Amino acid sequence: MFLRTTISILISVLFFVINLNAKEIVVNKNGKIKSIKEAIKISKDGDAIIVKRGNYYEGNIIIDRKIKITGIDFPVVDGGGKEEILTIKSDSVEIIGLLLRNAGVSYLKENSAIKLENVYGCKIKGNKLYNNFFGIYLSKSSQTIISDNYIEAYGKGETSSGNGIHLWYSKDVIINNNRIKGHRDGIYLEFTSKAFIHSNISTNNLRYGLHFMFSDECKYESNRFSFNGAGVAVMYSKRVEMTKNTFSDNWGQASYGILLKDISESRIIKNLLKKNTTGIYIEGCLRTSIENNIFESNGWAVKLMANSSDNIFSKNDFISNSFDIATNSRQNFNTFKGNYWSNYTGYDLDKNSVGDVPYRPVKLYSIITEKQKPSLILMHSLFIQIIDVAESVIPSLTPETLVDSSPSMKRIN
Amino acid sequence: MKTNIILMLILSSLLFSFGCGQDPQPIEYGVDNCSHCMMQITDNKYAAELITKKGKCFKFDAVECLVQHLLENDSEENKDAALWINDFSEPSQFINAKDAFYLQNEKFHSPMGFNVLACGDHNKLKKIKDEHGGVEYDWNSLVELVKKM
Repeated sequence: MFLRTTISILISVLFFVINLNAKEIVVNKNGKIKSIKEAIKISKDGDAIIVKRGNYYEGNIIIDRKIKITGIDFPVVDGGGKEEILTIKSDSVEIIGLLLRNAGVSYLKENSAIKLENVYGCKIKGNKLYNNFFGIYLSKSSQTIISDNYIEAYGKGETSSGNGIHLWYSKDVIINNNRIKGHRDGIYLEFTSKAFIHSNISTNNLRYGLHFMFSDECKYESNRFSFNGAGVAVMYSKRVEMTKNTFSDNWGQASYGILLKDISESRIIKNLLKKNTTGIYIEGCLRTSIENNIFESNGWAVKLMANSSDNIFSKNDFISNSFDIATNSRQNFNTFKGNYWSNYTGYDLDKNSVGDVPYRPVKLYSIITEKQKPSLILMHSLFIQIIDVAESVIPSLTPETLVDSSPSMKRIN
Repeated sequence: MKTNIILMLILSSLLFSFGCGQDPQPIEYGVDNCSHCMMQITDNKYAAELITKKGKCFKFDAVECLVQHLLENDSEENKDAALWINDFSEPSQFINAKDAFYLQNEKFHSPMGFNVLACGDHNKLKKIKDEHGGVEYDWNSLVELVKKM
């Protein structure tokens, strides 16, 4: 025990000494040290490298010691369209204020502007990334903060475009205040746990704004996802919390605000879903609560596939959607209670703000369109209105148990 | 009368040409969705296709989705369906999935995390294997591997 404490004291003293010796290395095109590689070569753990304004074409820069690199007035570090730019192989590295561009497209190597390999405690802050294959790539890394970066690519096709922020087998990562544009996925998480993603804006991406694969116990809050192939896709994950996000203008044949596939025990709370082809698409989803959200002006507010069960929809506002709920079966194992439906035509005689007749959000017509897509051409026709009224009187094809028996008369959120 | 017959011939030939081919159909990357996992198909090195005898086409973003679809829908129709997979060494090119050679390695990040690539030419696969390593599979052993997933 005594030995251990002595050793730990010795180590901390040692670190203190190293810190005392920490020096600042200035990289300047007109100075003594002209390249970042050179600066890294002469640096020791704990040093700071200051990069002055200029263009640096140095190929792949490998950072293998605990240093902090700060750019003054956004010096340009260019990958030349062939290689990776920064590869971080040491813990506790900080990258601040650089402009990184042109990391090359490669099919086997996932070239990135900044790649972290097997490290922890890093910080990537306030950088600008343009036209890179992958932007920031974390591979088996943890306890890292990625904040205030601007990431933009001009991917022409999905196949030649990587993800903006890509996490693979990572843990405890905070991603906040980033702006991501034009990548394949804005933020992509694979086999990642406990990531916290907040206040990012992810727009105009070719596939998804944010994409979860096999990533449990993550949380995303107050982000905006617009004009993507789909806002957010959450797949094969457990316990994901989605709060206060905005999903808008995700239009297209197969576009969604949120795409849920095989997830469980998650929470979708206080989000705004506006002008999406489909607000939320739910398939194979278990024990998830969807509360206090606003679904406004979507094609379909919710598409709920029959292999989902024990999900609870409560206190949501459904406003001016072409279809409120669509499903593909007469079976339903989910609960709807206390939502506001702008299409509700019932009454409230006892004035308790709860509709006296139950509301059936699934229209017969939405079932027909689910099975026969071309029948959408009949929308708003008299014929459809007649069959919808007939169906609402005597349900024969729509799920009998999919009903909100206490619809709210007033908007809730 | 003659024109009628010609018209009939043209129409019927048209019908046949659209009808029942089991050739691979082009995938529109970034637009088409995977029939199994619903994800948009974006990677032209890993995508796959199943085409039934009647010509119905199911598209997949990775080989494990194709195999899982087959395992879950064990119908007669699927038994004699044509199976196609993207050749890793020639992206966007389809090869017969049952005759292809497969290589699994964590270094190849396929869309669904199974990390298996396919090649039609064994020499090309061997070249990738020599450079990056990995475990080789044929179609049947690959199906067994997916079952265990």
